[in-house]
Amino acid sequence: MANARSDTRNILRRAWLPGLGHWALGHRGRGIRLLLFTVTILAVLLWRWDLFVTGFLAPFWDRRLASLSLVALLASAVALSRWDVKRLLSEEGEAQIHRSPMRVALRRFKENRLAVWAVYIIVALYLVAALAPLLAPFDPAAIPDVQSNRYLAPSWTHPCGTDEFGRDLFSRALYGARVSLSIGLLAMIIAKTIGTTYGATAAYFGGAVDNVLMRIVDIWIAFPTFYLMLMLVGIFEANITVLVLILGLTSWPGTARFIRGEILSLKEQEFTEAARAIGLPAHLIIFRHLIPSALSPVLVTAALSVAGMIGAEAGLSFLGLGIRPPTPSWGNMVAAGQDNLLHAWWIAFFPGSLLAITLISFSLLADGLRDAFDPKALMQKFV
Amino acid sequence: MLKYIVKRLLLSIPLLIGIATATFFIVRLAPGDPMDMYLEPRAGGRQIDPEVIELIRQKYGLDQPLHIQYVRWLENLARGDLGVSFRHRRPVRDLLAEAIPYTLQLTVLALLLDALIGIALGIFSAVKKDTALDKTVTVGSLIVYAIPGFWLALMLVMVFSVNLGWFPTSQTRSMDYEFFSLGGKVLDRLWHLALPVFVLGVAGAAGTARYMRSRLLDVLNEEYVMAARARGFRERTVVFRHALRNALIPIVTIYGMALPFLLGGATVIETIFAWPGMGRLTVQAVSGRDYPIIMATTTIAAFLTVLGNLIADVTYAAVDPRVSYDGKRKV
Amino acid sequence: MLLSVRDLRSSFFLDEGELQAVDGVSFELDKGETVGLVGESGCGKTIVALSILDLIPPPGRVVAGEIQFEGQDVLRMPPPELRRLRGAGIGLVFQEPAAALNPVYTIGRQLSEVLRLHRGLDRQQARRETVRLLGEMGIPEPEKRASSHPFELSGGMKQRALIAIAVAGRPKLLIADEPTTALDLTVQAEILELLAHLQEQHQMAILMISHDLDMVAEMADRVLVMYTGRIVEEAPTADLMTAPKHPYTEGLLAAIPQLGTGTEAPLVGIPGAVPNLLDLPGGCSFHPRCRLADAECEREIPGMSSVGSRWRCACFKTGAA
Repeated sequence: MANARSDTRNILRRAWLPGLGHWALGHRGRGIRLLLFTVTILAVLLWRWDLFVTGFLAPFWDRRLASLSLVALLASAVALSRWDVKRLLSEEGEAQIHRSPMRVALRRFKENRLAVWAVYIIVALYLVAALAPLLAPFDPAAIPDVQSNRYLAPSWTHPCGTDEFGRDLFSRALYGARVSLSIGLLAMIIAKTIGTTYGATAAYFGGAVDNVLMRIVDIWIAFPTFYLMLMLVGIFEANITVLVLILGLTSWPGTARFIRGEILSLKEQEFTEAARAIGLPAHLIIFRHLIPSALSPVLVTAALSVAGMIGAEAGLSFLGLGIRPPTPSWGNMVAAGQDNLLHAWWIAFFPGSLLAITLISFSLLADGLRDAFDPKALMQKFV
Repeated sequence: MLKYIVKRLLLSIPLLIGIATATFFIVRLAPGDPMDMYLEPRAGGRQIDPEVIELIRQKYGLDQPLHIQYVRWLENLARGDLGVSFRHRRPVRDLLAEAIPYTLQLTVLALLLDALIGIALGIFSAVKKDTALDKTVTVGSLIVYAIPGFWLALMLVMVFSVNLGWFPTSQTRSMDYEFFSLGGKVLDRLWHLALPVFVLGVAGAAGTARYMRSRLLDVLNEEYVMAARARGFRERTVVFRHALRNALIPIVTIYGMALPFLLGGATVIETIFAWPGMGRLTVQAVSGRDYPIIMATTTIAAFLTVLGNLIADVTYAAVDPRVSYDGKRKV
Repeated sequence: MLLSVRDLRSSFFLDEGELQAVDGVSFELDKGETVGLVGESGCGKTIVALSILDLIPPPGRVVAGEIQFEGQDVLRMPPPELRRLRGAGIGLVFQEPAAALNPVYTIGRQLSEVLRLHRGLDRQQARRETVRLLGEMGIPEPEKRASSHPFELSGGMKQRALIAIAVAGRPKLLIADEPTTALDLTVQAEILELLAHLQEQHQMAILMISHDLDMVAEMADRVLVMYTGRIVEEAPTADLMTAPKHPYTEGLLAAIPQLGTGTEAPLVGIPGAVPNLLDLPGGCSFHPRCRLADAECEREIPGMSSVGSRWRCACFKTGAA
């Protein structure tokens, strides 16, 4: 008894170093991943120590954000490690076969190697974006001696080459990641939140309210999304905030219609009747049964939606209507490289490739989520 | 069937009015004096005589109260008067009349490419499920679908036009177009269409292929397919006669919904290839703050989408014997 | 002997393991005979039917055994002959008539194409024969019905159409898998009558598969009882219904509710539940639910022992009597 308790305490103490606790418990894979993650963060910390420290006091909010993010990442790695180890310790005694749909889906998801890699890539991209001010070797806006630095091909100093002003494209790409990725995520959150609330409200009230709300959605959906975005950027000046709002406000109707349909059909299904028959109160039915069932397709479409938002922002910026230079966005960087395809192909190539990789990863993620939540029940009729 | 079409058209009118209303009010949301829309932006220090401004204001009816402007807008729309572009100083209607055919060429051909390649690949990978080919098609189509269109276009242009010179980089016609025979002109146009249509269509094809594959796999698991095998038909007949027809039916709705995406994608593609269609017109209008064009093209694009959905619905009812013309299942 | 099945084994290869749906089934069927195959859901009787035509969908397949039809080895037949067999040699009628008919084609078209495939008729002849055949099945207004889609027909009519399709190729054997389960009682009787009529007319053998022992008893000359993939008893119908030898058969008979006798007899069931095929009990798979079971039953799987010339039973306790 005493031994077990001191063992536990030992392991927990080791968990302060992310990964070590897991290693001690035998979860080697998870342990290594956590350790690797933490080591990388620490490496960045040490490599850019001066930038990190000065970042807290810097006048620019994005440098403060980067330094804070670093600290936050370290803290969450430690917290996650301890929380997970505690959870594993408490489960050691019970051989639990987790059958809740979330757990089952998670397990299936993990078996899909492509999807798992997609998650790693996405996480890595967002990390890089958050830490960009610390990682960028050059100041993305700094214009050095133009004559000697313009149009340099990719090399060790400039992994992505330089553009017509001699600016380092790798640094610009990193900063561009911040813009493109954050816009995508925020816009998706806005769209999904508004859409879900709107659709759920329409489904809940039904009748005339539903009718009116859905007519509005019909009108909104009739506009090709990109045209609507174009019109809105034409009317309002496009800075980051406005762009996020525009992207979010043009895309919510799709979600609204979908959620409304899902909830309406769920209301009709037998399990709702059964729940009511047992005497379950309405709010429990809605929150414990209806919403979780409707949630899984929303997750899938959320992943696709982020991809769509990132793509839309890139398209708008490419056309010169979204994020304007000199603020780097992958879209406007590709546009800048358009005229130099033959001589300085790298200007368009790298931002575009990063964009493509991001979008592909989100698509793989969405696919993986869809497969994980959708069991193929083939065998039922034959046995 | 005709009754159904007429009924649907009539039902669409409130929707169309709603669209026009939405466009009107969104544009009016713009901060600042609406007059700014009709004046040259960035007039750069040029002082315009206030009397002239007042005249222009009256000309465009901007001195009227809002609801009257709104009614005017609707009236004009119904009459087909879409205003005058101040950039081009020509009626918007004429500009659109010139631009839309180009966009149609692009989108219709892209749609055809999408359908042909997408359906074929989808069938192929469903029938050869889990083979190396199937896996390649599945992953490949996902990649193609996800790649941003403009980047794909640029990469293709870089490889095939700039480096290899197989296709022209832009424009709708070659320099010496005038001297071609009719056949030559057609070929020349097609040659110029090749890359843009390919980029626009291939992304759609990827999506179609994935959808077709999953649909066909579902149908192949249905009991009537096994029943067909039990009756002694060869596998090929079972797939292409018994299963395919069922699998293809919902594809029609996919194409109804494809129109808005194609129109959106076309804006970027047309800009890259300097194709003088509706998309490029809109993009230029947005850059130049040419509001009459922006309002008109957006409204027209929405109208086209509604039309596309109508066609899709009617086709679906015609093709699926279980659905009657008011959209209700007969089963 | 028209059909001879010897030691048939068919399994499904799932992630969780090999599910042995049919585990050593043997029986024979002669021309013109009606044989019933009875068992609860999940005992593998449908898979037996699919195995005979080599139609098991992946991830399942026939693993071992021999199936002979008219002297030919079905499992080793070249594909063209196998296709001939399906439809012209053996006809199959499914449980859910709605599911077995293609929803987008008219039933006339579905019937005609089989006629043209197996009887070599041209389009005109096929059309005429379609109408005639539909009429023979008892479908009123056959010309009109021929241009109807499946969803326009009632359950009973759909099943008649399916039977028409199944016998269109003039098969020697008709396998009917739960042909009446999805139908109303009155329609059930009509369908059974139809089958009997067809059998008489065309000297067709029928393999009737069902969980309804009563219904099978009406039509069959002989009955086979299946449990968890194995045959546990086989006997002439009258004998089986009056004095079954296997405890499972006894249980099935006892479970049939007696209507209209006025007695307050309680409903009798078989204690326990059908085991998961992936996790069968050792020895005789029925032993956990059997009142006669002992240690021997737990250890060894009973083989079929013959009682007289036409009775077989797989039970240590009652078989060898």
